[in-house]
Amino acid sequence: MLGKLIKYEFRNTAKVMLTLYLFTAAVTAVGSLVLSMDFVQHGTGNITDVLTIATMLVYILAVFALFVVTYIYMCIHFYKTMYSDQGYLTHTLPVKPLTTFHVKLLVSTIWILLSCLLLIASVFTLLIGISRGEILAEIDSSVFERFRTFFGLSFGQFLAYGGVSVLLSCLNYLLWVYASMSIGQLFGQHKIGASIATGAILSIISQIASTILMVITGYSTALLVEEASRYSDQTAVSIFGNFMNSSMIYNIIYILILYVICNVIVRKHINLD
Amino acid sequence: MSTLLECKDLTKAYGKKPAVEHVNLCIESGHIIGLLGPNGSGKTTLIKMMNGLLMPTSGELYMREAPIGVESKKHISYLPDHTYLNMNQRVNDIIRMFADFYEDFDSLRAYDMLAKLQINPEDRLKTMSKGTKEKVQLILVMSRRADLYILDEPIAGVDPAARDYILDVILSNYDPEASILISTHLIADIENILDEVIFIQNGQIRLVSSVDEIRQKEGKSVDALFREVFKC
Repeated sequence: MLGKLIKYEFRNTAKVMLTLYLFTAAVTAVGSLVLSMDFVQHGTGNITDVLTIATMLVYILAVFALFVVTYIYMCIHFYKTMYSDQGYLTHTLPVKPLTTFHVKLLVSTIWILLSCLLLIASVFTLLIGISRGEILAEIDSSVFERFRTFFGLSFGQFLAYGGVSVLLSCLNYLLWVYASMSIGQLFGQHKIGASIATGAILSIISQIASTILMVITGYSTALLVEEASRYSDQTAVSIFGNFMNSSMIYNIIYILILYVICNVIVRKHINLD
Repeated sequence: MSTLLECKDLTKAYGKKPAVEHVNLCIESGHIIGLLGPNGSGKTTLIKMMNGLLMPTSGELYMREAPIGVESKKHISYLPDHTYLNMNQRVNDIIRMFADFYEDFDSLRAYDMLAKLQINPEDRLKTMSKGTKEKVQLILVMSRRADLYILDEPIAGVDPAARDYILDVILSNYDPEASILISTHLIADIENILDEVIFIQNGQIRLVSSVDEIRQKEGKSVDALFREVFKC
């Protein structure tokens, strides 16, 4: 059943997501092509400036849309299939409600991570276009050395660190909305309004908790900026490492709390009016 | 004959307002039962609890002596009182999905009923009229070889001619060992197919009786008795 659920969850979301990816790929290709043109790179004058700015603007909007649409679509899809009319089908399938929830979380996470990968590929393609492929020639072992000097991490470690951070952020944002919707559907009326209010309250609680944690651990933005300017010869990890680790631990705790809320409601308090 | 579904002191309240109150009920196999009551009497709330879509405030619910859960959903085929499918899907995609998830789903039976009603399986639901969507949903539900069919207002949204066909679909597509629980207030239309009736009012069971018993004891049709019991 798990395999079937995953298959149908992908199938039900693929149309919108693949259209979005095709759109991003098209904008990237056009942007890369335009910015690599001779008259754009070497030309002067208003037309060249307007074309460059317009291309960059459309590209930035497309990338922004990629994330906003992915995230909003995943949230709406979750609500529609769990707590709205389609929930009647979802919750009468011979599957544990928690399994359904896990599948929705997994598939949404995968789509968001794919969007991240597409963004990286898109930016890289644009850079190749702007540099007319020269950037590829510059990638050698010295790049990884410079990486280590700046970040204090190997490229592999950086990817792992970045990957975990992105994954945690993704789970954090998804579970924040899922928990808000799950609490919202417990209300007899105005479920969407209740979900939005719950989201706001959860966000405020999270902000207060993270501020308290910063005070306890002694990290603040001002302190980090001061340290960064004082020790300019140090690597990013030696300056920000502890802060990043504390932030990651805080994220994990917050994710666990949100997950427990969803878990209890999905298992014991489904309320489809 | 065996007990399929059992409600024990079942209550559902919204805040302090009870929607279903202390319901004790047994549904045996091999019966067509009408769950009858005026609007707001608690029919849909009771049905949703039977399908695990609403959690009872108190009391217990069992399907073949097991609590409502994954196992009960394998044996109950449920038709809600509104459209609950993804409107962008084609009928044949939905049939494939039902066949994937429900072991007792008979795709051939579904396609046969669609053909009889001249519904194109290639059509998307969003292109269909309200009545056709309801027919598609009923076909999907009745194409399962379930132990218990729970139909919430199956004939409310269709024209009188289609009602006859729907009742025919219901009658000709269920196993005699299975039971059908039909919730409706269009009693005159379904009275002839019912074996038993359950009258519900203000969340409480007012009457559980066989249709023959009502006719013999009261000398009235179910429709006439309903009008008398629930007279405003």
